[in-house]
Amino acid sequence: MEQIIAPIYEGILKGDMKSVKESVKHALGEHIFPDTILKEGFIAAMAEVGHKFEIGEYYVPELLISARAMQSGLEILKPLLVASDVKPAGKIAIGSVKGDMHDIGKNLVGMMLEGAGFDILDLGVDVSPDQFVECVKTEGVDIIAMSALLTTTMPNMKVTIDGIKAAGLAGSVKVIIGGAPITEAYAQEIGADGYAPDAGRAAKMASN
Amino acid sequence: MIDTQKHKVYVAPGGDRIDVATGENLLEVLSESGVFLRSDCGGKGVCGKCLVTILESSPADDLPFNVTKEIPENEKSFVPGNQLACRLTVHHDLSIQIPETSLISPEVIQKPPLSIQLPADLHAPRKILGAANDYGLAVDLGTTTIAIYLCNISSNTVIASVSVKNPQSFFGDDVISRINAVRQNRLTLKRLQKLAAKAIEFGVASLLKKSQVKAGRIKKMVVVGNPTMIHLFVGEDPDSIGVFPYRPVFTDAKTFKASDLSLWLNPSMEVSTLPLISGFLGSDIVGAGLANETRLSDTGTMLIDIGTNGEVMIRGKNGFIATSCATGPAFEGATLRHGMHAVSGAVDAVKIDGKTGGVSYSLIQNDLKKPKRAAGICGSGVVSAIAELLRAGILLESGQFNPEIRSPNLRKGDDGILEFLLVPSSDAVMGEPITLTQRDVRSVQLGKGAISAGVELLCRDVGLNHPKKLLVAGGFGNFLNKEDAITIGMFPKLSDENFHVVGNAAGLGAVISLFDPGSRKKVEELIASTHIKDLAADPLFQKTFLSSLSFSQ
Ligand code: B12
Ligand code: FES
Repeated sequence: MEQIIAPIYEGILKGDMKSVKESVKHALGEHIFPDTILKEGFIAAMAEVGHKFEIGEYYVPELLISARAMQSGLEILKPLLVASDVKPAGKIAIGSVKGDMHDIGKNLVGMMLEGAGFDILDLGVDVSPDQFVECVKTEGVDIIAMSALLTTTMPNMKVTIDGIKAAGLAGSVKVIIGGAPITEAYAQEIGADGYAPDAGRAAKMASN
Repeated sequence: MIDTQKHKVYVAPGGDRIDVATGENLLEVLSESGVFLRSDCGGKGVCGKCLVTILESSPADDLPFNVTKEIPENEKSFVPGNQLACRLTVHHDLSIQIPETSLISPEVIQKPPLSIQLPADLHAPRKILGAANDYGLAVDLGTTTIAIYLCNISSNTVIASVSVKNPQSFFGDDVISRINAVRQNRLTLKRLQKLAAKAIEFGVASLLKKSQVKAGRIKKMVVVGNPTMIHLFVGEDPDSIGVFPYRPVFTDAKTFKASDLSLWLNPSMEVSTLPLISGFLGSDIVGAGLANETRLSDTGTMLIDIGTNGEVMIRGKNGFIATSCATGPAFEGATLRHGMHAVSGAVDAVKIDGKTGGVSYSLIQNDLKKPKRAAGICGSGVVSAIAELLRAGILLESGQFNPEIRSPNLRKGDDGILEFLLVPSSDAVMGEPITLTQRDVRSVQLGKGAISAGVELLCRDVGLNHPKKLLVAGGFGNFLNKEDAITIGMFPKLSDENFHVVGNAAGLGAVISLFDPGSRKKVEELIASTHIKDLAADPLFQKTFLSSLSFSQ
């Protein structure tokens, strides 16, 4: 079985979309469980991609190609996962905070979280605290992930966290934050549940 | 609560003695008494640039500070004697020494009077016989550096020029951080205004002394700068520039009496600012455009002014298209492990021997008597280093250090990640080797990616693949080696006759405006014919930016 999964893993690391798609189809033909393909192919490969990113071996372009290759395989796998009742690791709503249009980092984090087995709801950019709070109420998300690249938009993270508390939802959702000007200390200061400096570590953190 | 107990801080070697109340922050106290330290992160304790050495504190066993936040990861030289001034509150008398690397030089950096080429049609005004000469000042108020030109406006000549560090850096290295500082405390607006005025006066005083001109003879001053700098200089809150949709409070040209702006050298002097285009396109790019008016009349000519924010404009068939690209402070040295501004002690060029892999470098050195020791690396140095690493095959085009190559200077850092040794500890000021880390390279990729994406998209808008002619302005452009910049893919490959480094064009624009009041009309025309491009709104931005991250040409 390892030999059947290995090309999927390799394909994702290389960012070879075509080979990933073909290997996934092949694996399914060989009656490997979709769940196994997800865990040992996709999630394991994306964890390695995240690690390579963390140690600087990969950068934004490499991470993106790998994530796209992973997504192309996931498209084939998804209906089967749903059909066989495999539950995602959790549901995460992600967005850039109000006033911020930067989204490259946020998108990378979203892809890595998806690669870690989460269901991702992308709220886009310029997402107001109310929108985040509303999303917790209506979408049943487990984690809110906020991104900010401007020093001036960072405070909107606190406003959102306060809004979640005020709505009495603090117990039902976790908040993780990130972006270039964010620090661990800031995350603690505003009462966020987690911070990660890059996309690889964001996925690691969310999985724990 | 700050109690009234007083302490003294002795600053070696100058011997300044500062009175401090218990609980005051050392970085703030120092800057208010005219000792300006680097503070790239705005005093958040994360950049590690505001290092001071504690020589003595009394009582000696009781360290006089609280390190309130965690020690920054990149601050390897953090030993008990070395402390971050911004994290230190004073509770005892203490005596400190400030390493050269931490100092924003309070001395005026004397630059040779720039060889300014005035436009040919700018003739000297007819001089009234026997009348005394009048003088004027042209100021380019940059986020990092302030350039000042003393001019004789009776003969239309530039007499002398200096540049001083912008002491507002205490409140952060980029404009957004300074806007945020005002947002957190309105009183900061006044302080920032005064700091700018103080720094200008400081530079002017040295110019006057050097050229034996009396302050009273200075009749007017023209100031250019980015929108945030101009807002702060005239005392206007730039808050709205800091958040979407990034609108300035005003864009028009303004005129003041010097005393209204806390400028006291000649309180009745007339001070005017040139108009702005948008929240991130200021009178600096307007001035640069004015100074290069003739060259810019050819379609396809592009002007780039690189600072913390890069401004770019290109001449299309119907007027100009201009945009700002968020370069980030990597080229000012800020986000790099051993980054520093282009001042004394900075490595500004690097050579790697193709055969032996041996590294040699050159240093900026203002005081030739001091021992030649490296303190860090500045923007042009880092561009040069990366270009050489690419040529030697030590760095791959993707930006990754080549794990397969053997080079005596490529090694694993404390974090297990590859880094390149530029200066061994024995030749470094702080006794810590100067390296270029993988993360540094990544941060340069972001900055250069932002510039080249901006260049590419503007060209596209006027139907070109690359600019026909390129004018590179800004202090950074002055030191930059053209070949290096092309090697790392920052600028498109153009022949020498189509690639011009035009120096501080924004400052020259201010000079021209000072000499020729009629040029104001040209400025208005330039702005009226400029279309503002919002890169964020260009659907091609993301793709272009991402493909611009690699070091391919
Ligand atoms: C690309 C870019 C842009 C693009 C944005 C395109 C887009 N669709 O995102 C454009 C050109 C549009 C832009 C515009 C502006 N920008 Co801009 N931009 C940048 C730049 C060059 C790179 C940012 C980036 O994409 N990095 C790459 C990604 C992968 O990294 P990242 O975002 O940090 O994300 C990583 C981590 O932070 C983390 N992470 C991110 N989000 C999250 C979330 C969670 C939950 C977690 C756990 C982790 C996490 O993981 C990511 C992957 O590892 C930076 C400069 C720099 N050196 O950073 C400036 C920068 C961020 N911009 C800046 C500014 C000021 C602006 C403008 C306001 C003004 C201007 N024109 O310059 C405008 C406003 C735009 C708008 N409408 O909002 C400043 C901010 C300064 C400050 N102190 O706040 C910077 C730092 C540049 C500078 N110093 O001038 N910008
Ligand atoms: S660490 Fe002190 S100013 Fe940045």
